[in-house]
Amino acid sequence: MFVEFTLNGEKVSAEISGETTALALLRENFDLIGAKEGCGVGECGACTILVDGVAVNGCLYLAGKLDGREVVTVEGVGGEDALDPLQKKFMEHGAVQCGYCTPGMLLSAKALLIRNPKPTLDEVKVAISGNLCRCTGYTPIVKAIMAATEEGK
Amino acid sequence: MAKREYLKPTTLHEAVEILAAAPGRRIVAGGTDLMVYIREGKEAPAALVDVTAIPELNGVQKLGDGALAVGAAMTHSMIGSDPDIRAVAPVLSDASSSVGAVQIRNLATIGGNVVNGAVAADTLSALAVLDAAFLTFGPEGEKRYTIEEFFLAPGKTAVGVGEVLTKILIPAQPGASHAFIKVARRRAAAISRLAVSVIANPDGGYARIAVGAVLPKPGRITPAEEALKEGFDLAAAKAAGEAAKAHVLSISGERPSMVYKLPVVSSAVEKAVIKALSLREVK
Repeated sequence: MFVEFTLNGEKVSAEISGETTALALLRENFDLIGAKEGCGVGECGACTILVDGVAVNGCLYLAGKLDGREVVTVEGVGGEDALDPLQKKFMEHGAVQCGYCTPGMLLSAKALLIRNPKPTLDEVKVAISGNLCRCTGYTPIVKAIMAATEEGK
Repeated sequence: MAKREYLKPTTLHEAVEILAAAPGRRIVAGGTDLMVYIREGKEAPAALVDVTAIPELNGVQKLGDGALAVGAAMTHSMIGSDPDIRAVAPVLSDASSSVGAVQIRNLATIGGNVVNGAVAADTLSALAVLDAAFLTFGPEGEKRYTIEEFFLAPGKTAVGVGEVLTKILIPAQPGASHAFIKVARRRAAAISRLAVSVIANPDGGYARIAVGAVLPKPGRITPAEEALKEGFDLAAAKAAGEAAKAHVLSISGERPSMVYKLPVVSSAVEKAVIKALSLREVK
């Protein structure tokens, strides 16, 4: 099957087979390796990407469903010269240790802030509850996200 | 992995034709279960037939008598935030909002939860107390199933090969109070150890109670409902919990996990009733 979609603002297309996941397509065809495979079964959130502005598990998302949609990966958020407020606050608060969960954490936070620019602490925790972190610890991550929301006020 | 086709029909007739055209074709909506089965080698469909673009499977329709027809391809996020569903069936809104974590709720559909018929599916106890019915479309046209007709055994439903679940019909519940409680190891992304759904209407003199994950298929617990109807008060809530426990034991039998499950069943059912009727504050 042939799919056409918008990837980090650019029109792209790819030939895929039925069981191809969005995660495999992004990493293998487009060299976007920010989204990671952690568990591969939708429990850890390391593969989180945004499709039409909502967070989904890239490891479960069939590439065939991407046709006509808008995809954002961590590579499409901010950039070295113009960091997203979330990225700045992750750095300031030491919310990145090994970095494996970070792209997913950033995108889950991004999806929340798109919908709800001034979330409560509980709303932040719910938004990242599908993202496991095993080394940084959730406290600095939650603090960074809360700080990024204050930035936007 | 073998090259599989990915097919995306846009009408029900087209979907039924595609499914019948070759063996081993499998319906997919959110894919949150199927992709795991494929990865584990438990399923190897010849082709995936994505039904999410079919109009009949999307959106919520209000029917004349206050009932709702919920499209089977609606995601749990859509269901959790839909105002019409919240108004008629808050027990379903809460059940859908308890499924997985955000990323799963944005993908997984109510139809998938229903058709896979997993005993621990979060929405099934809610659909049981709502007395939901299911509409399908297949080679023989449209069919309607009651919840008793639909679920046959763990993981087994009455939906035939080539038949597509299109809508979940939810009758109006005038004057009823609802509550849903889920017990799981981790709040996000965890499968229910136990789910309890309650709808109670003291003025109408009826109560419906169902539990998920501890019985082989979704269904109401009549003895617990009868116990609650004795008074719709705290004592009746406790009696309903005890009756639910006895019922679960009689169906599922003694097994090692029951040492944990039975006390949890009685207290969760009691708590859900208290929550539904606002008899006192429930955390």
